[in-house]
Amino acid sequence: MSQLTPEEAVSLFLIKFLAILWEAMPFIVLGAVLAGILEEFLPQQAITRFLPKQVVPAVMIGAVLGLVFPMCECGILVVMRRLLRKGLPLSCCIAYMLAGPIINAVVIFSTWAAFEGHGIAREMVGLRVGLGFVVACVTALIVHIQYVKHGNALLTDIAIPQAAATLPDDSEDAPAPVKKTLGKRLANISATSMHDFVDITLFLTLGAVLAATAKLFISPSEVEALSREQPFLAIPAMMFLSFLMCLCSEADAFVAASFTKMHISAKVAFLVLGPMLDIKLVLMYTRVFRRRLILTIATSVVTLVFVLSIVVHLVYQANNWAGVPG
Amino acid sequence: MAHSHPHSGESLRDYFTEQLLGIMVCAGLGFVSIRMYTNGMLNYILAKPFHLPVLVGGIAIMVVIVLLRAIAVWHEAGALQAPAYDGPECSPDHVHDTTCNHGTSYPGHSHDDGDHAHSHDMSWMFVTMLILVVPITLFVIGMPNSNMARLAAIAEAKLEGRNSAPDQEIGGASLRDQAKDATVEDEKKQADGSTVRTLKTQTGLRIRETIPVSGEPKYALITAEGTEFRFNDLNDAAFDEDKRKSYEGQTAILEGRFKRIADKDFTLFRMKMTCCAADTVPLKVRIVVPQALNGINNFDWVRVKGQIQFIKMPGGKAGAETYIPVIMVADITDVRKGEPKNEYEQ
Repeated sequence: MSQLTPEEAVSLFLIKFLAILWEAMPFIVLGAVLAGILEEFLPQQAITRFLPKQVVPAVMIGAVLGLVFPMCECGILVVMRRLLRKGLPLSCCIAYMLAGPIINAVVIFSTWAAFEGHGIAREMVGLRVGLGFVVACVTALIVHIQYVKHGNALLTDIAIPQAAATLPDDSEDAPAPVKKTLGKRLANISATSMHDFVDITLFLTLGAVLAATAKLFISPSEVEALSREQPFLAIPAMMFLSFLMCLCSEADAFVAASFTKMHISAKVAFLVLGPMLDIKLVLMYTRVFRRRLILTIATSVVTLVFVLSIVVHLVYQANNWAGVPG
Repeated sequence: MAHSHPHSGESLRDYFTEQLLGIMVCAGLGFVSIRMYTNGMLNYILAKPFHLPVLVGGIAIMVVIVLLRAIAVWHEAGALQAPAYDGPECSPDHVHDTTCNHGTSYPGHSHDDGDHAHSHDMSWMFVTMLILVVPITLFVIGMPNSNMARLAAIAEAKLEGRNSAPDQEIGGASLRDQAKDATVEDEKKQADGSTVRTLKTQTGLRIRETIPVSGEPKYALITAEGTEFRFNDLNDAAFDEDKRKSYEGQTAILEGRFKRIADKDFTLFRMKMTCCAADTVPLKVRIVVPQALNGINNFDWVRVKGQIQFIKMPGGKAGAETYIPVIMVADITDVRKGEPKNEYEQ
């Protein structure tokens, strides 16, 4: 009964693979086109002028940048890489990349909508945004410390800030005085867009293959059953699930809401970790960061989400608040 | 030539090969996006709100990436014919740096020393293109399709049942027992002297009791016209006492896949897709029929009509009451085989 025929297994794999791929594809296109426009029109170093000099406030601004430039996690990586090249400090980029897919109007609204029927919309939105902000900022600061030590060795060649790559030749600082024609600008935008689109879609495809394979071996209901028997396993189990499922941050709240019997702390863990770290994101990160930095980000994010979710759980327990709706 | 890096020969050919292949693959992905939107193939993998982004994304690929890039490459190739040409977009005497903006694929980052590991590694480029062709190929051979959705739903139901305890049969009280503490809603004397009473049980179940002049009374469920119900609503209502009360006794029509538990007891399940096929979960509703049901195999698609009940299941966590939605079918003719309109409930 429980044995899948090869036909069923292949169908399950293919449908999951195609679903993840085509759901994310439009957002990568959006990110790639935006990246092309940024690359062409945003003057070198322009963004840094608006940023405070101190790291901490700058990082905090980076974390809420999503409110101004809303992006989900697939598209944000592409845009972030261009901003990084344009001289936005790495710490800010990390904060934007991690928190952006959570702290933006679209995702806040969808989280609200998903939990409204359960009567916990306010708590869920508050906790998700709050934890997302803290995790992103702290991780960004850790990355900053590492960057001070190791510099651009943490980044792939394509992501290295241009200021660092360019020779200190002052005459190059000002963009070429020659006025570029519209045609030339469009050609440049399309070149960057195509490059970024192909580059990131490749890793999205590979990530989707891995995620779809993982789904053959473990199903959400199994994770739910496991965590019901062991309440304290619920948080790591849900974190593992969000890593595995590779859901879009605009959509994952609805999935979390479907785990009706799960404690709020586990749902928050699912919703905060998912947009920051999952199989396809790790593969896509390899196009920006070197292994050392990916490890730092992953360790920091996982640890923080885990610890903070446990804290949420304990606070609920201590105050005798209902952690489960209904 | 004013500068030394190779703009001609081998790398120039590589550049155009890469650009042309890139344009072709992107055109393919853009076309597939638009086509899957128009021919309804997206229904098998994505929930409705995610259809429009795919169309918009496809158009964006076609316009921004494919069209503009094709024009640009066309011009670059044309400019190659000009005698004074010195690589795309370069004035002969300019020092190369990043503001020279040839686009990133070719000259743009080939100027930063040691940065061309990927862009000029042609085998890497071919592998990339090959992988990106996979979804296009799947589309060409007709995937995703309804058969794939069906097999995946069955697979998921199997996986779902793998680790959970097997479903227990609901013995349930017989209609006669349930009729004992029911209230009489209506009573009619028939011409032959028998009495027909409409009863409503504590749980809202409507039963028709026929009391002949002599002999035992007969009991049957009353099935109304019925309305289509969603698996999701029934499963949600199971958690809420007020909702349970208001649903019980209504006649529901449900469509889903069949899974046998016992002779008169089976599960109907349907996949719930929240956003995309990657997040589907099987939703279950229990069906209880009055006579043994034959001729229907596991995972057949069936349409069922019957009264809604919520039955308390043993084995839940202490203190927590677990109810499952149940459809009580009056007659086995209310269970019919059919074909799915949509594998997923949204």
